[in-house]
Amino acid sequence: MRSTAHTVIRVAEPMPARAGIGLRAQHHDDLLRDRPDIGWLEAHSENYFADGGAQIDYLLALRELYPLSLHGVGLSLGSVDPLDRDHLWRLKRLVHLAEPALVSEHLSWGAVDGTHLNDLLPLPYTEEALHHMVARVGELQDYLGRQVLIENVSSYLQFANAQVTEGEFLQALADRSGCGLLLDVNNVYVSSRNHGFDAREYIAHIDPRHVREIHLAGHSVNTHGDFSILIDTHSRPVSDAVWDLYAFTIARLGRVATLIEWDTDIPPLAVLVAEAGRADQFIKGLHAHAA
Amino acid sequence: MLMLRDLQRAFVQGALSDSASAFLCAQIIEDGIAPERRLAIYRNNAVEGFLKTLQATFPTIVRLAGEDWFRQVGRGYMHRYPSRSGNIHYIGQQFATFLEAQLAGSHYEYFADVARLEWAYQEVLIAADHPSFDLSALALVPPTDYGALVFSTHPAMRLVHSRFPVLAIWRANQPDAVSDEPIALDQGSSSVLVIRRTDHVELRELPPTAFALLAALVRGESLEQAAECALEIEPGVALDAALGRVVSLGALVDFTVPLDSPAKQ
Repeated sequence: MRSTAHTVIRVAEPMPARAGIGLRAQHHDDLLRDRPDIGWLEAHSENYFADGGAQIDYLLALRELYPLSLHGVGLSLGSVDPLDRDHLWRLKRLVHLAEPALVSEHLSWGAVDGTHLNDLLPLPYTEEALHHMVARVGELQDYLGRQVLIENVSSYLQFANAQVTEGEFLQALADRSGCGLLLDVNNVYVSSRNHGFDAREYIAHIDPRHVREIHLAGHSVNTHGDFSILIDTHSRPVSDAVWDLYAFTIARLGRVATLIEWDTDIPPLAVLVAEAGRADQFIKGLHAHAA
Repeated sequence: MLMLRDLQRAFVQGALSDSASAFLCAQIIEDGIAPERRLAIYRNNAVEGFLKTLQATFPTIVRLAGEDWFRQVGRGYMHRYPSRSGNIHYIGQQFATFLEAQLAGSHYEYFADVARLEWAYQEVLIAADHPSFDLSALALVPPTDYGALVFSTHPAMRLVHSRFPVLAIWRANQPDAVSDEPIALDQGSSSVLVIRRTDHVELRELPPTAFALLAALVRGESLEQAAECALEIEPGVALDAALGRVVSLGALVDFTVPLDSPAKQ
């Protein structure tokens, strides 16, 4: 698929314990030209599933400048449908090509009987679903030949048949499958507000050894009559409450690579770089304390 | 897997229709907001995500038809052709087919062909790369074998033909379009080559003979068969010139010599 000119032997360096930003096509040129001081980039895997063309060339050029994480949004790991072989193959091809430091997907599902909602839908936290997710994450890790990280999603409903909490489910998934965790602090906050649980207690119960990446993003508030519900829109700056929760999180987990996500109403690159700078200040402050 | 499968089926069915089943609602904790309202958030996310992708894929149709019409038709399309992939790129794959069926016989029939052109553009953006054609290799083929040559065409190339002037319509509706001269729907057909160049996608109107020749080669027909197609369009056309033109377009990337050719012996 690629010309042999791209066949470069390159060892993926570990992800630095710094803040990175989500890679969006409208920032490709700015990043290559300005080379801002950010720790790393995270690309949505599916955006680079192409067989050829300019997008992959950009990714590989940026990969020379920054460590990279590949973040999948479409594999539908929690679905009862078989894993999509073409999707898996494209992911493996991209991993081989871009040699990311981290590869991640979600604790969610998005399709059944071949019909996709293209969304990150919540799972019922049952023993049945856990058994299924452990098998699916195992299948993905075996296919890619590497560990993947699994991210908690925001949710707007809970299933009545849940046997454990989301935090317990994630913990058990990591213990049994050997996957790492991508802890999305905004998603913990959004779900804690929507479902009335204690976000700090959730985070305090996650084994720090599992967490290899953190996500931060902005959310919006929708009001339904007397009730408001927080929606994970990735369209705004990180809220003060989420920064507070982030400070609590890294105080507990230590220095972890942290991503600023912004996927809708995407601002100029400088705004993302400034948000990443703010996260870096938290990480540095922690370091100073520890030292 | 019985419970999880039932739950996922009921969820997708509920999100793609106007209401959730009693079974599904019974699985969702109310906690101040009715299960149906909670599910509506996911329904809205799915519809808005789908429409957003569709709008980004077919900006010319949005511009021609207006956002309200597009969203309404887009919902009908989602109902008829829900997404079949975890990769949202494929969401627009059946849109031209859907529009063709919806708009047959109406004044807006040409939307289907404009959509076909926009989908070709999307496919070409992400199709495989290919080294350029080594013309010198063609010189080794004995002229007596030319007629039997079969060409392969560039992966990042599509052909779109319409009885409407779709390329003029497409150009006039680009954000940076300079001309706003009116286009008559009956001003003539359009034969468009969509091909990826180093740093952009080129859309080019081809003369009918060159288009017929190239279309036949894309179908895998021999040069001789392709030439017959071109001659049907324009008897007496200079085939050398037509082939030269097709080669210069960069649309051909390789060829195979027939097995009984002296060049293979």
